[in-house]
Amino acid sequence: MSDAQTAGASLLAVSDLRTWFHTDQGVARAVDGVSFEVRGRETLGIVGESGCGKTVTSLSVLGLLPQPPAKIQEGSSIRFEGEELVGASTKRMRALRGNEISMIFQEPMSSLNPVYKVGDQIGEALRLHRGMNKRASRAEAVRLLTEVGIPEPDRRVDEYPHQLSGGMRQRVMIAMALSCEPQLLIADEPTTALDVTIQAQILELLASLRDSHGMAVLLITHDLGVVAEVCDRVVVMYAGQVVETGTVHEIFQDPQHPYTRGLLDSLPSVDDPGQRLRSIPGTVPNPIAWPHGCRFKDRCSLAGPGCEKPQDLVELGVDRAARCWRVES
Amino acid sequence: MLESGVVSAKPHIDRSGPPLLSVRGLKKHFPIRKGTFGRVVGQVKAVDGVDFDLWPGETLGLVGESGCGKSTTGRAVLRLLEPTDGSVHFDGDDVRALDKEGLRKLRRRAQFVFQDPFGSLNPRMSVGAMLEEALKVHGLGGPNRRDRAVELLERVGLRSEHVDRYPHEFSGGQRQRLGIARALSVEPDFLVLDEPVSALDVSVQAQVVNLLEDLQRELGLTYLFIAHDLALVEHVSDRVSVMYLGRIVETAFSHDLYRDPRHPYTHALLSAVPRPDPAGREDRERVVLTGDVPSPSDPPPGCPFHPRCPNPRKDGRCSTVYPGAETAGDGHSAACHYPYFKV
Repeated sequence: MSDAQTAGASLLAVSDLRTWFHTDQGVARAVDGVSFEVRGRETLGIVGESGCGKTVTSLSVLGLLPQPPAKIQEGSSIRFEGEELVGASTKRMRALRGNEISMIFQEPMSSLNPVYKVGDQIGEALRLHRGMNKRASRAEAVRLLTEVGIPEPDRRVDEYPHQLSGGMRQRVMIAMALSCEPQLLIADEPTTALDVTIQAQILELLASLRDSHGMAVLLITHDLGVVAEVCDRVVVMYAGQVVETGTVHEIFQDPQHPYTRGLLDSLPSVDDPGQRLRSIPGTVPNPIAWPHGCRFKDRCSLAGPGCEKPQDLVELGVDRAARCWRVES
Repeated sequence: MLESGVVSAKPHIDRSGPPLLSVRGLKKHFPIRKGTFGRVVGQVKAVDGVDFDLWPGETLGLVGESGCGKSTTGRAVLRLLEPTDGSVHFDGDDVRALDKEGLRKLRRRAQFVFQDPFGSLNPRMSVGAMLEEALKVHGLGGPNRRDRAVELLERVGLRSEHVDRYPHEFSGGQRQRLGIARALSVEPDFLVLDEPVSALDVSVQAQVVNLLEDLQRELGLTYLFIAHDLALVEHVSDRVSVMYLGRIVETAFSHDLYRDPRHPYTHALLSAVPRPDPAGREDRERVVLTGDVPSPSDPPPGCPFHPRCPNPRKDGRCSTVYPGAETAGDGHSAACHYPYFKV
């Protein structure tokens, strides 16, 4: 895990991604100039609150946003192993998805088809992408279910999604995502709908599969605890922009952006439970009308002169940056 | 209203007097029906024998994973769901024996705040009308109901001009403040808070938790705080009860429970909580439970946790005899034959 930062070459490079939505109320700039890189075998976390643009970012990478209303703006670039995905044909994206890049979502029940057996759904990807026949794909489905830790895989392969618990459904989703040995797994809030003991099982499974398959994981979550447990590097998003990047240790031990600090401070602390929580005042702004200048200034305790102009990401070192003019000094 | 940084100590809780709420052997079973004639073929034992006491001014946290019966317990206590068995006493009155009028009086003193601020507010009612209705039902507020509504809004950190707005015009955090204002409108002593902040973003969660703590201090409220977020429950609660499969498996002062969990389930649950601290994550002790929670319609015999229990001392007694929750001298109880003790 620790050598991932040095060992991995760039697998996915997102640069100045702008995904806007044209709505009746106006243009929602959900993702507004996001850049980051995922390297081979690492786990990169994108963390932020609802409406910060983290899910739209991942759907843009996969080409899963209906256009219109979404529109990826001119100048945006998403490169996977050097290949530009913005503007790639539907056919090409279909070949990539599931094969090279896989995704698991928050609610496995709504991503699984309720009228097909689990084995048939895993087998579908194997037949489409790996050209297996029915018998071979069934055997491979059983092997995958074993690998993701489902007890009695021979029996479970013939069950329907409603017969499985939430944790087992998420394991089935992971089995499907793994079926074509992807290089990148995008996990969007994979444990948010699960209880903590089941969450711990799934996070452990994801980490061990990442290591055994040598894949990279892009983990999207709002849960700072999950980020701290599994990520190598972290991207913090706020109001459609990246506000801070760094290694997981830098982000948690030495946060630079006032928003990152505010998020960490608002968590109940195990060490001093009697303390009053430090909250961030106000609410997340509306993507149709992001605040002018620094987008966080209306909620920031340090706001003052200098914050009225748009903020740039200030480089603080290798893979380390924060979008606040104050960090320069 | 207190602002951040100002910490006023919570008044001492006197547990020598009678409890405000006393629950013994509470059960709530739901029948499983099958076929054309709705024949009862089984029972979902959502709550299966729960005991606890809650003293005035105190916060008792009720934690557990989904399906453990924590929300059903909260509802059965105030008879939003009719209990199947057991006794509930509120300020000395037998809640299960109350008639309609008695229940109405009870609900003036004991109110609910629900998880989903979207689902529990009427979208067609202005905030003022909603708050005034609660006052009207209970014959409170007299001719100045509107003034009282404005006062309530300000009390929960909203502004007086919000009184003519509708729920959809508010953000999630503001809606939860409205839910709290509505609960407070009848001047209750006791609130059941069922996952009051779990639908909110982290930064907004903290605002609402601080508000609840301020209100408790200022108004002397007693809380039953139901949640699945263990760190949050530790923060707000004086004592915590952990539920598993319809029963309370451990109760202790919040500080003791988190540092010295005695029931193997509590121990595993706490070790599974992701910590927002990457330092030393590789060598942190983690007990990963195998398998899923059994079905509450067919709980295992003996200790309901025994099929998943990692306790090395587990033996035949665990699968045959239900362990009672003996309370030790330090007010710490664990329903386990072989509880863990720190040496």
